[in-house]
Amino acid sequence: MRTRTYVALAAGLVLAALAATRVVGNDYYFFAGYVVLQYVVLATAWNILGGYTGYVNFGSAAFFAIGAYTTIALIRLAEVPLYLSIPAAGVVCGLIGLAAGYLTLRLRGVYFAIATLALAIVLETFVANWDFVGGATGSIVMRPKEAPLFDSYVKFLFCVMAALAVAAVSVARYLETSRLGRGLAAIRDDEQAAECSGVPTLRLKLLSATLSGALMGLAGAPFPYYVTYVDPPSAFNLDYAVNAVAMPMVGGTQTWLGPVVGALLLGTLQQVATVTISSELNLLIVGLVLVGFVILAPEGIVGQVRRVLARRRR
Amino acid sequence: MSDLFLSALASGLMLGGFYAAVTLGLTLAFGYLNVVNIAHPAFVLLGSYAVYGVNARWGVDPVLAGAGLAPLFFVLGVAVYSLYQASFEAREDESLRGLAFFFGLMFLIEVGLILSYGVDYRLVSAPYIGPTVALGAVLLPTRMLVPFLVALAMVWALQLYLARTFTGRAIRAVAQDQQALRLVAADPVRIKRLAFGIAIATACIAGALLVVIGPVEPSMGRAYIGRVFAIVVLGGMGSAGGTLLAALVLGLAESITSTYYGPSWSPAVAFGFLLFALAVRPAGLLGR
Amino acid sequence: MSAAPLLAVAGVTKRFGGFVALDQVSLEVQRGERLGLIGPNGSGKTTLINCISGTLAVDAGRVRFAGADITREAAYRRARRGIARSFQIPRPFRSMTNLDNLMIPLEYAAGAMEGETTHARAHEILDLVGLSGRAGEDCGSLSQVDLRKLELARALAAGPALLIVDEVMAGLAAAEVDEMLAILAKLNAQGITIVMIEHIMRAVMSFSERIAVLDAGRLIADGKPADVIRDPLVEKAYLGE
Repeated sequence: MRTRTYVALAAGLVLAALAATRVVGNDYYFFAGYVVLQYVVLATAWNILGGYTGYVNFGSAAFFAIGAYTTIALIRLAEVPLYLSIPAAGVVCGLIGLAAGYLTLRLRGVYFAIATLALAIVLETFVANWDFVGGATGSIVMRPKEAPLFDSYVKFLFCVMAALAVAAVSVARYLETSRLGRGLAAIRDDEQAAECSGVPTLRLKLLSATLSGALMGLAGAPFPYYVTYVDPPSAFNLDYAVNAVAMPMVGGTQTWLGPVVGALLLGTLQQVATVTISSELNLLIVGLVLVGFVILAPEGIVGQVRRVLARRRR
Repeated sequence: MSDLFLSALASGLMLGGFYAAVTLGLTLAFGYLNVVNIAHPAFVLLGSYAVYGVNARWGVDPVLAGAGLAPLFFVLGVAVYSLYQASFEAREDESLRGLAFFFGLMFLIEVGLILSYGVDYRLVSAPYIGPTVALGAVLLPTRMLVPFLVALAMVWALQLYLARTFTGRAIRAVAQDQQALRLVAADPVRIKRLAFGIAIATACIAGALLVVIGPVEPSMGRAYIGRVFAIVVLGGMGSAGGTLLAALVLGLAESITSTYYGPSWSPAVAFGFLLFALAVRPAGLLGR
Repeated sequence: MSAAPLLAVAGVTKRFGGFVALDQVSLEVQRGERLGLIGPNGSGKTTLINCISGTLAVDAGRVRFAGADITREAAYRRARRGIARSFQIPRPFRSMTNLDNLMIPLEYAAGAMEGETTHARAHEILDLVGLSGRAGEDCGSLSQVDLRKLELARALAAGPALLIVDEVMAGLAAAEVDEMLAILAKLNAQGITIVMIEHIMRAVMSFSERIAVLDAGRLIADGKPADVIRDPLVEKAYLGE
């Protein structure tokens, strides 16, 4: 996709989001839309370390949660407004990504994945023991009654998340075709061969982990305002980790479009299922979809489409 | 030595023994078959709930129920492995897809348990849950002692099986030399299926022990992932005795931390162990 | 020769658990030289290459390149210094096109900037190894032989001073072997020092100025090709092959 086309698309989406808030009255759609957009950010962020670099992170929920808790901590500390806590969350989670990466990225891919799972639990333990942000009992956050420029705060959050989604996807897209992105792909394809070709693999992996963590933190930062009550089990919920893995796998892990497709499809499916059937059953769907795609279509939707198109060309 | 310390020591050993039982299946699957089954603790939970079901319905003793249900879990293991093999090992794929498969499986089991039993804690009843046995100044709860003894028996039995029986030795060989196996008329594929089946069967019994030790709820498995992998790696990747030793060490470390710093830090201990284990492993790290 | 060697391996030992893969191996390669490295299967040739390229860390000994001690250096730094190697079994970057496979070493080892000139250089290298016009293809569609050519191309793209080729001619037909030898000779004429690991004797004999022989991790011979093949130790090492 040419840059011009992409920019037009991105701008169009942001405008559409803004327009929707004027036209659509029912707040419910924005509640649901927020979640889907949040998954776009999460899936895109995961894919940078997972799809581009080949290191599968099962602890994504931790970064998302710490993003949320950064906002909470900042509110408690000095009533810091959202537009400041978002970048702060990005920085905090980026640093944690770097530290976690430093501890674990020297390990072979398989061990790295296991370590991320264990690490997520440790981080949850720390937060649950930190009384300043509410500890195990959780934290209540008041959603402001009024929002700048919008008639409801939820509509405002929806647009904030739309902007974050565009930002995250743009970063991923830029990364993909850059020298750095090629280096990451080389690491994914064959780390040893990449190293022998001059790629500083550890450095690039750490960069990838930092970026991935930071973006996940961004996804989590507005969460306290969205949900108004945050406690460790809900913020560190495994759902986020599973979705962060499933959505890129469904959409396709090798390109920026994959996580977007996966998040839009799977996210919307889940919202619909929650309303029509039950919220537990929708989790079952995610699990089944993940296993199904991993077995049957590991390249994801985008990958399959590409294959079909390539065959047609011949 | 203070009584508190002795208590922590005793608890730690018993806990460690139990951890060994939980890890045995992974020693087989990961140590010998190189299958990264992160869903293993979820299978253990599945065993716990199956045992709970039987115990609640018909009052069957939990440990006996675990042993009785083990054959069913064996079949389950064979089925899961066959699916895994057909989807991943046949292709020359990175094991990361296989990981995602087990991750999804783990999630499915957890969700399935929530859907069937809800998120509340479930417990079993048995005559040895409740009383304590005194060993000098130390009180040993029998709900921990019985699992400890069963775990030791499991380790010993597996050790014997792997050393003395034809199939057991075939399992040890299958990781190293499939060609040689074929020459002695053993089918590597069948052997691997057998091994994984046994692994899941042990998960069932470990699940019985888990629910004897305390009440269970569906998401408990996650805390065990770090523990079991740390134990397998530290224990030497495929030695039942090594697994036991590493498990005892971890159990002791957790118990002592828990006694003096509080129980909520246990996951951190396990993670520290995991990192340590991976750092000192002679092979398996990238290149250097 | 009074000039300092380009590569100097001194007393290198490498163990895997109890197994000694390399035992006090010392070897020098002069600038511009064509060195053949031979030995029975399992004698440690690839292990030695791995120690030189930095893929493996040595347990004892030193590795010097262009005067600098690189024993503790990471592989990517060695690649940037000018050591390039091909892998015995080709390891291409499977998700990329042939061109992008070359862009990696061009950008990372040779330090080239992305752009017209670098793309042109990549095309040049593809032409050189006989993969002209296939730059935009996915490397997954290449035959085994072509994969070896891509492997060589990728090593070349790093702009090396020392090129180590590990059984790059395995499985090639006679005419293809000659083609490969011609390419390597051309590269050597341009100034690239070449170390060749091969089992195809006629190729090694005709190409090398000097031959080193490894057996069970030890260097057992090092000299002119004609002398080495007559060495009784070398004969003994190959008996039964």
